[in-house]
Amino acid sequence: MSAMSEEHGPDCTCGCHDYEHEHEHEYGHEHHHEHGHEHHHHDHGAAHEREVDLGWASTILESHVHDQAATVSATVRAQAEAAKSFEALVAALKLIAQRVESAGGIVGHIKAYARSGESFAHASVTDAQLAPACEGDVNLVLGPDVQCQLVVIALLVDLDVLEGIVLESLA
Amino acid sequence: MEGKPNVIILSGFLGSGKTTALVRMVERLREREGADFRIAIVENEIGSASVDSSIIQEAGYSVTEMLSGCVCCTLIGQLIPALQKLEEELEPHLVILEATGVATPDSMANNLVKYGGYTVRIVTLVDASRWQRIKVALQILLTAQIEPADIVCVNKVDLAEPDVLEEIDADVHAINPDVPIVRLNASEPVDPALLDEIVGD
Repeated sequence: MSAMSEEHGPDCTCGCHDYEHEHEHEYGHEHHHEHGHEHHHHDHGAAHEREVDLGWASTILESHVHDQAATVSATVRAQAEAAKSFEALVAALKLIAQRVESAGGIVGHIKAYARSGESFAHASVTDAQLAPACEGDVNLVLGPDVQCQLVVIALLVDLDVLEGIVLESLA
Repeated sequence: MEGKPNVIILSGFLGSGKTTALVRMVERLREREGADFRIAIVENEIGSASVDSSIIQEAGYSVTEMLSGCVCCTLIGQLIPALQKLEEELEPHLVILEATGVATPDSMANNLVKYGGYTVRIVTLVDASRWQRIKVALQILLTAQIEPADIVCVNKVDLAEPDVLEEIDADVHAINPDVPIVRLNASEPVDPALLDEIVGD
């Protein structure tokens, strides 16, 4: 886990607290959060981008860690002869959620969007135990003319583990 | 247009329903304030693909994207220049900034107020459907999202039992004692009066 709280000394020069947590809100009350020298650090890993052949589609995969969140973004373009429906992709998203939880992780958000001409479809998964939330035409066929994007964000799971889960589930 | 636009920071954990709520809020503001009321929407995503922007665009609104980072930390230096550019191009009356699900809104608000001169309202969404599962594991982050909120919206109330909703109210008020709490299911039409309470005046 990359987020951590640390005690800093009184002459700390860590640069994490260049501002005071004081500002006025619309309601007119004033917040003044004195966080002292306890800090919540945000760690960020370098992004990796690569092209992966899923068998039925090619995908540009980008992955990185942001704070506690392992993040995998994918742009999927199906091959004509092996096209799947968006509904099949939604099943894969649910499988990703199940595998993240089995690996001890917490699903942050798994979401996908596809558009073809006037048709679009959108799916959102936040929990392996809940049904995916879908909008639009889930029967949309993910052919080569369809731009399909998905994002998988999970916590308490290593990035390479998450990448493996995503690729295995989408294959 | 004279003066700075107000800014609403829409905060909340990943998957709490921020984008759906944003669309409801914009629909209501358009209805309440009329077609001349200009709203700029800024989408911040930690991923390199913005699914949320596509959803908002499907609803008929244009979006400014800030991807692959978070405006509370890695992209913090880009936030005010992005808003200043929006001011020049669109002259909005209101900017709605949808934060990433791991963002801490206090640092954003402080930056906008101190260095940009904006008036900021923080709206934080809480996901009722999985509050009990994440509240301990993600306590630091959830606290940082609720603590500075001007209003907390408990979303997906249709997926939680009444005793869980009571528990959420108590947990939220333990973090931010005076914050107003509203309950909604943003995936369905929302009472305009409730949306007015969320977006403020």
